[in-house]
This record gives sequence, structure tokens and C-alpha cells, in this order.
Amino acid sequence: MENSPLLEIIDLKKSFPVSSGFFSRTHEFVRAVDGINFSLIAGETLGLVGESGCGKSTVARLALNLDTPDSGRILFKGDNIFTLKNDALKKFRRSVQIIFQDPFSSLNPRKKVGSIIGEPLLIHKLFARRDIPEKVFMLMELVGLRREYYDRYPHEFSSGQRQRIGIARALSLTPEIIIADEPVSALDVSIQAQTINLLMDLQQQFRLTYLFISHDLSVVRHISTRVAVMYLGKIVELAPNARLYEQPLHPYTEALLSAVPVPDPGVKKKEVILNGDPPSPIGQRRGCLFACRCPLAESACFEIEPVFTEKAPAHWAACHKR
Amino acid sequence: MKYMPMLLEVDNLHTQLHLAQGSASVVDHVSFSLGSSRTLALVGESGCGKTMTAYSILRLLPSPPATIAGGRILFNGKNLLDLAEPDMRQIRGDKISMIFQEPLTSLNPVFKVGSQIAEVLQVHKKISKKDALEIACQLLHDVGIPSPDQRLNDYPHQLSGGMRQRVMIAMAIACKPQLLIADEPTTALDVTVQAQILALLLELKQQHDMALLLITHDLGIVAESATDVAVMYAGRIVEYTDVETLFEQPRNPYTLGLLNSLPRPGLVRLQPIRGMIPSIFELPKGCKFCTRCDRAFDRCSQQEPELINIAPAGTKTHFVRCWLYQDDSPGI
Repeated sequence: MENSPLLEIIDLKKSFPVSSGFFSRTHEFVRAVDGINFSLIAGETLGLVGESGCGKSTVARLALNLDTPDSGRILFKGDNIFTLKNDALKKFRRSVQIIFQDPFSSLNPRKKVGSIIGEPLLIHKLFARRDIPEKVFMLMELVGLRREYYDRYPHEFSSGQRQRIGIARALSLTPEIIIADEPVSALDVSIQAQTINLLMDLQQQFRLTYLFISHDLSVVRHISTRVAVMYLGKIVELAPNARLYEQPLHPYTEALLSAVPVPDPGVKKKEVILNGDPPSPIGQRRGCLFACRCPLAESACFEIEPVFTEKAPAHWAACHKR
Repeated sequence: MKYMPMLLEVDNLHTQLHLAQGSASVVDHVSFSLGSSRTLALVGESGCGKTMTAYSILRLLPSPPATIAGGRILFNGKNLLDLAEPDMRQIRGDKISMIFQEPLTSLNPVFKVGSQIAEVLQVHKKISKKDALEIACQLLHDVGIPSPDQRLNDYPHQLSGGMRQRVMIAMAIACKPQLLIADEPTTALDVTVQAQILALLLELKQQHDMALLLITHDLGIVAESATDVAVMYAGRIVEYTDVETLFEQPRNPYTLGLLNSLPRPGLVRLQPIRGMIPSIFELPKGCKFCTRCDRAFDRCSQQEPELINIAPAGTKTHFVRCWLYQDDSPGI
């Protein structure tokens, strides 16, 4: 039984001009997001993985309506978010919140913790000004920050605590969807585990839906319901968590999984070490984008672009060979 | 039997940092040894002193604010701390070399990579620039850079992160060092590139019969690359043994905590270490981990345990710093 999607991303494209040469004329475009489709089902955590520059964060910015796409639509409960106006847009902004990667640059250093967490409430006029501190105390308790931190500044906190401030701010408007863009990448292992547990507890408590963006495959495996793998602006594989990790179809997913170091010296895994770096996302495209690094590639792979199809129930991949 | 010195023996190294907030021991009586062709991993979270240890070995720390307050660093039996700066400079880049974490900031942006590699060779082996460039080309080939004769003339910004790290490695192995120190060599890289670089490092280590001191926070990399491991916390070594023993029988609660914090298949809930990493200026009394340790008892907050060998006689050594394993020590 398929639940109805909360957020639907339909053939989304976004490219950025690259300025180069004399007078910075625009010659070429980076195709950051190049025709992707997926949906976010209420209550799930969709993990979005890929290497740097593959377009993960651009997807996040688009899904938040912080950037407009070149083409394609994103439907939130059936409405295209890019055509929303006034109250409807404000309501959407309340429903979708973000947690940023860098807990140092994403908090205003001149503001106290209380006003950082309380500001969304003030802007959206959800509470009278005098009731806001009480609500902020509640949020702080929820994420494990002590009440007396209310009047402190961000620089007085460790990175793990700052990330908690960011989480409290994201929760303040009781959103339905939280987009977490590498939320634990900047944290040390012991603090990372605390933060992951906190995110999972909050999801249960408030029935949140997460789009969890990360390059760390073991974290994504731990937290996600389904996982999407991105490569150069395209989704190359999308499958339920267990299936993606146990029976990956796309050779790129296989290579990614085998590149993750396993913290057990007894494990001898089969290594698929890829040659070369990911090609530049700039310029013309032809065939399968992974073909030049793929161990299975044939001549057809360089010519014809593979279609993203359902290869097994709920298991989608774009590959000629599998 | 004649005493054969190990390649590197760090003995009671004590490095202090004098800052406005006060003085702190960032490396506190650290001892370990590294035989030729072994790989020792120094693991720990940020601020635990692993990089400070590496910089102390190469005497790269600026003084002030840092001073090496005590201990010995024996390299082939010779104490590096006794050497005059010109003699130390002879060793850096030649017998001991280092790969830094961030390849973009550690390469000079205004010189071609070829001449940066050639410079190392010209300093240590009295050869002409032309010969040095020829060797540099071969080195770039050895570290897996395609069309090396063209890449010699590239500037660092023209190369990708993985390629830059390969250039750093080429520079580090140019003089065939006996000891290579790699400080988080893959942290700035993507996983597929990380796998390439780690494979390359291990291959070169075998080829040149180097010893590797690998500094990392990633226990996965430790398990795959190291032969020995020292876990550091608050400037101290808290557990030190071979890699199999560490992962199969971790004894220090901090090591256990780190391993339990890692997501693993089939694990429903992570078991993190509670609390935060304490500031080096505000360390607790007694065992430095006692405020976060679930198994701490009275004694832990009063007196600091020693690093002792808990392995039975005749087996591999297993050093642990924890009161749970020091029942026979004085004071009980």
C-alpha cells in the first residue's frame, strides 16, 4: 500500500552559469540538478547521498523554495510550491524547515540563543511576544539545552550544542518536513551519535518527515527508510534502505558502498575502487554520465542515456546493464 | 643481544600550549613506538592532541605559544629534541615527511606543482633543477596521475582535491623517507577518492618499506589500514595495542564508547557517549574521561590512572589507562 506523497518532485532542473574568460561572459552552465523525480512520503526519512558537487544541496534549496528551478515542479500536498503567493507561501514556509550543515555559520553570532529560536515564532506571528519565551524554553528542553542558556550567544557553545540550537529553531514552527543538509557531518563521532538519536526521537514524537542529505553512507543507512543516490545532478538509484545496501543495482552505488571503510579489521570486503574523479558537471552531456568510470560500461553506455526505471518493486535505477 | 633501536620511539612527550586563557598540556606524557614498515594510527576526536603529537615529532609547532616541556623523541636512536634547527631541517622532508589534511592550503598557490616537488629534491639531494623535474615527473606517475609531464606545469588550483592530495604524497615520498606522517590525509575527500588515496598510501608504504604514522578520527580507516592503534583523549593515550585486539577486546570505556557511537547495520539505536568533549583548559580532576564515563566510581574523579599493560605475559601488549583494570595498583 502506497501512502500519498507529501512532497513530489517532478522533472526538476536547475543549472547555474559559469562565468569565465574576458569580461566574464557566460559560456557554459553547471547542470546542478538535471531532471530528477522523487517523492517524499509522510513519516519517512529519505536519505539523499552522493559525493560533493553532485547537486544534493541544490535539491535542498529548491525543495525549500529558496531558489527557483529552470523547469519542473515541486508539489507540496498537491500544490506547486513555486506558484504559491502570500498566505499560502507563508504556510508552506512554516511546514518545511531546514537544518544546516555548519553549526558555526548558520547561527547569527550577535543574537542570543533565545531570540534565535524565538525569531521564527515572532515573524510568523504565531504567539504574542510575551508568550514566546515560554515556548522557547519548551523547545530548548526538547532538544536537551538547559534553560539558563537562553541569554547566551552562539560562540559560547560547542558544535554539538549549536546543532541542537539549529534543530530547536527548525522545530519552532511545528513543521511537517525537515530538510537536514549534512546535519552531523561537522560533528565528532560521540556527538554525532547523540544528534542522530535526537533527530530520530523527534521524528517519532512529532511524526516528522525527513529529507536527510549526507555523504556518509553508514549514517544514512542507520536513519533512512528509503535511499536515493545522486551522481552529477541525476538520481541513479532509489530503493528501500535494506535493499539498496544489500542488493545495489547501479555500479556507482556498488562502488560507493565498497569505498566506505568498515570499522572491523576482520572484514575483508570486495573492493570496487573507481578510477578517476567524478567528471566536471559543466558542459555537454551524452550517454550515461557514469560510463567513463564504470567497470561494466559498453559502447552503448557512452551513446544512449539510460532511463530511470523500476527494476524491481520500489527499486528504481538508471543503468543499461542491470 | 645487541639493543636495536626502533625506528621511532616517543617517550613521555609533553607539549604545552601557553595562551591567554592559561597553560595547558595538549600532549601529556605520551609514549609509543613505531617499527619500520608498521602503521600506527593515532585516533581520537577533535582537540584530543593527535595533530599536536605529530607536529611535536617534526618540531613544527611555533614557540611561543607551544613548548615541548619534556620527553624524548628517538628516531633511529637519536633524540630529535636535542638537534639544532639546521640539523632538524635536514631530517624534515627527507627521513621523515608529512602529508597534511588540507592539500589546497598546504600547496603553494603561486608555484607549479612540478617545481614544488623538485624543490624537496633540490634541498636534500644536491641535484640540478632539470634532474629534479625529471624525478618529479616519475613521482607523479608513481602516485597515479595521468599524463604527468603535462601536470608538472599545472598550478594547484587547476587540480581536483584527489589530484592535489596525490601531489602532496609525491612530495612526501620524493626522498624515500623512513617515516611518513599522514595527518587526516583523506578527510577532505569524497569516499570513492578516499579509497583510492588510502590504497595508494598502503601500496607505496610496501614498495618503499616506510613506516606510517596515520592520524585520523575515522575508526573505519583505522581498521582497514593500521597495524597498531593508540586512542587519545584530552592529550593522553588511553588505550594502545594492535588493531585486532583493539576492535575485538576494547577495554577503555572511551574506546568502547567511540565504537558504540558508530552506526552499524542492524543496530536500532546508537549508544553515544554522554556529555561533551571538555575544553583542554577545564579538564576534570582524576581520570579526564570520568565526567562522561558510565562506569566511573569515586576513585576516578580523584586520581588519574596510569597507562598499564593488561595483556598476559608473553602475548602482544595491550595498554589501557583506566581504574577498572588497575586493581593491584597502590591505593586500593
